Amino acid sequence: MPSEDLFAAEEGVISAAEELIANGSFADREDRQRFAELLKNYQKLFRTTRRLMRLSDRNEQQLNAMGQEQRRANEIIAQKNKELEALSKKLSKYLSPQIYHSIFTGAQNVEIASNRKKLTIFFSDVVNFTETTDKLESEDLTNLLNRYLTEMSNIALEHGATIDKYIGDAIMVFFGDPETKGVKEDARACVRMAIAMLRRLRELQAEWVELGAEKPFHLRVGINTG
Amino acid sequence: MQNLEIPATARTPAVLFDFGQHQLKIKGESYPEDVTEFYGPVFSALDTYLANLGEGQCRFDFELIYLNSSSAKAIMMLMDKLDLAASKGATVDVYWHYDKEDDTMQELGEEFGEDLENAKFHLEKMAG
Repeated sequence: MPSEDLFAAEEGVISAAEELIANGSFADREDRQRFAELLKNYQKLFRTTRRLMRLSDRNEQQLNAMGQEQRRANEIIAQKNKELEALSKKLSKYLSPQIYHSIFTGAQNVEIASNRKKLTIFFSDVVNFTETTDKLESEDLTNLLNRYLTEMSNIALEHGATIDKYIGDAIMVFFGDPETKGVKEDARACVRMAIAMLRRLRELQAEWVELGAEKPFHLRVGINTG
Repeated sequence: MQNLEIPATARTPAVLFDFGQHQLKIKGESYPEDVTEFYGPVFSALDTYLANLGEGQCRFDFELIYLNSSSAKAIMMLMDKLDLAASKGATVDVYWHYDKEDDTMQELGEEFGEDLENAKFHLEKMAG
């Protein structure tokens, strides 16, 4: 309904009153003046009503627009969060779980900084890996290496190690950062992990020989605390 | 007469009535929870001031960014008081400042100005 129609009745009252002042007969001049004053006040009240309604409607409109904007912003934030989540999931494959956890919970800042800590470092290398796997097809070699590194990494994580890096078949992990159970206990955990790795390697031997590896695998391990 | 200074809050405007200098100002956003509670003391102070103004001069600045319907009614009542004082001989200048991007406040100011019969109305764009 157009606003003119909405106020048609009031407009009608004003027109009739104006006509009455122009043509009507009043008892005296004072009555006419009082009536004119009354009409003036009515007109002012009418203007005020229209003004307040318009203001109220505009405020409501602005509020709705702001609400819509807020909803759009929330959708964008949700989308960005999803992207961030997917990205962090991808990133988690390249980081040790402890490091990933300490970065993403905010316990550790992602910045280059030097820090001294007493760590127990573990280093392992398969003896003559290249020669032992020389005759394997490249796909088989990839599978073998993946399997080996996955198995060893799982054992490392089970014992609380932080995986530092893989260098071909070599694995470097450490104990004592970002989580530590004390220098002695970290060293003991590292030794227990090394023994578990050697045991698991023996179990994997049969599988690899079947794949085409010519000789059994031997693992050399180095551990140091400092 | 003691000046009236009410600092702005998130929902109420700043009130700066310097009665000695005859400079009165309301500035900010106005959507108080209880409009009569906020504007009551403002009306009282203004009534006392205008009652003693006689044929003196005063300037009232409105610098409002947002106001709800109840505040708009309160502002109209303030305008009526100023217009009445002007009808009794005071020289009253009402300045309505509006943001150049805000058509609503501009139109509202224009309409308020139309209601003033005796006070002098000035519509001003806010600087910046």
